Amino acid sequence: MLGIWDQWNLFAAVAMILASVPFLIMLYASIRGHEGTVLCMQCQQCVAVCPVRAAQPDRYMGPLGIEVTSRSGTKERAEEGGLFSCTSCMSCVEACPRGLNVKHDMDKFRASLAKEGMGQMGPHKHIIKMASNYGNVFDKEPVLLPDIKEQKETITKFLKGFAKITKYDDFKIGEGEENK
Amino acid sequence: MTTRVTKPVIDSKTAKDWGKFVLYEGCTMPRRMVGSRYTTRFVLDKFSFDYMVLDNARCCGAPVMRSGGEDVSIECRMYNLDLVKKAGVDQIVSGCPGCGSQLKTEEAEKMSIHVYHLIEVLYDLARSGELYQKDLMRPIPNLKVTAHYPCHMHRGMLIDARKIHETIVGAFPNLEYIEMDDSDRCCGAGGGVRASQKELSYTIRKRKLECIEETGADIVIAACPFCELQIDEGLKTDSESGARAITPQSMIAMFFKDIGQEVAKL
Repeated sequence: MLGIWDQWNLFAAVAMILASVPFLIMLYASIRGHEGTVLCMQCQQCVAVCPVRAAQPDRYMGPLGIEVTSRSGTKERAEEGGLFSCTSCMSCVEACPRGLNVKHDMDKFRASLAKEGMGQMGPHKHIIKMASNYGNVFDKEPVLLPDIKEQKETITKFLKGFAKITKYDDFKIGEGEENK
Repeated sequence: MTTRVTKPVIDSKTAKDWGKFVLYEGCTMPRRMVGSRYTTRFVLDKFSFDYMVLDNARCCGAPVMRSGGEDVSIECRMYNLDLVKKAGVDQIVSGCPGCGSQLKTEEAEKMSIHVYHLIEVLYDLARSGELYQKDLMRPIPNLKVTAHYPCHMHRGMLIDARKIHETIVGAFPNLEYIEMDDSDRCCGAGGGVRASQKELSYTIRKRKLECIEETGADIVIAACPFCELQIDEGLKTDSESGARAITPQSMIAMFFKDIGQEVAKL
């Protein structure tokens, strides 16, 4: 039988362990770079405003799914649930009552999936390769920006498109179809 | 770190206070939306802003980050910030909010570089009464104008998009500003979705096009070249509204009498 002092010590030790659990969870999540996900209380405000979820209610897991899979680290589920379908519009960030930055967590989680060759589609790999090799995501040209004088023809066609809106006749300059 | 998004704020100066800045053009404007690239420079020249363009600027890194390339993305951002610092300038004005929100970070703050969106410059001109140049501009036609609030401008750079658009459109006579429903709803282009999942991107865009049609607008202002590309393409192919999506600088540029001659001189 424990004495009163030993009972008190035991109680204090258990209380300290219980009290430190949230801190340890935060520390663990912080080390993994997902400290925000721990604070999610699954209120679904983010799901209500997500435009991708509205477009694909049966396929896309939504911002809440991103937070949950990110917290649990279930990469296969994240891949299936469309982690790479988020448009990063930040509607969920605005809606979150706890101010969690789902976009930040999504970026981190995408990167960790990509490192294992998961989730990315062809265009994603192409974008990284282009930016890495050529400094832009569109053209296989050196980093230098195109000279604006070389774009005269396209600019002229663009201006021609204004004629329809404004009815300014002098915009009907240049040859060829209007084009942006 | 988790960043709390608070009520959008306007962090801009009066028109006279703008010093020298770097105009960051990004990838989309110089390579895909070259009309907006030209009108951006045209408008800044018309209002005598002191700006420079860094020809060897790289991708800001935002699409790379969304594609899962965190390391390359951070490398791109730091390269551009270093480039601006080396040029001896402490202000970046970006025509693209995706680039703007990518560059407007703690790293930029530590380097004392302030990042703005071009619309903040235009807003300052409107606020100080300089935007409508009666002598230099032709008669403004009667037009209904609405605006799409780009996600990375409204929520990323925390710019009060409603106030700014109302002020800019309100600066011109004969223009009527009509706010569309879901004006800050995503157009569907961002996050690498347009590049990787076109159908999903178009499904998201559908709601945006419906909202535009409901307003009966002639012009949709999209202060993001990627949103401009996405919405304008949708208006041409999936809508009978006849409206066109253009950037605010393009709308302003077309009011100038001499834009045709200036383009001819290129």
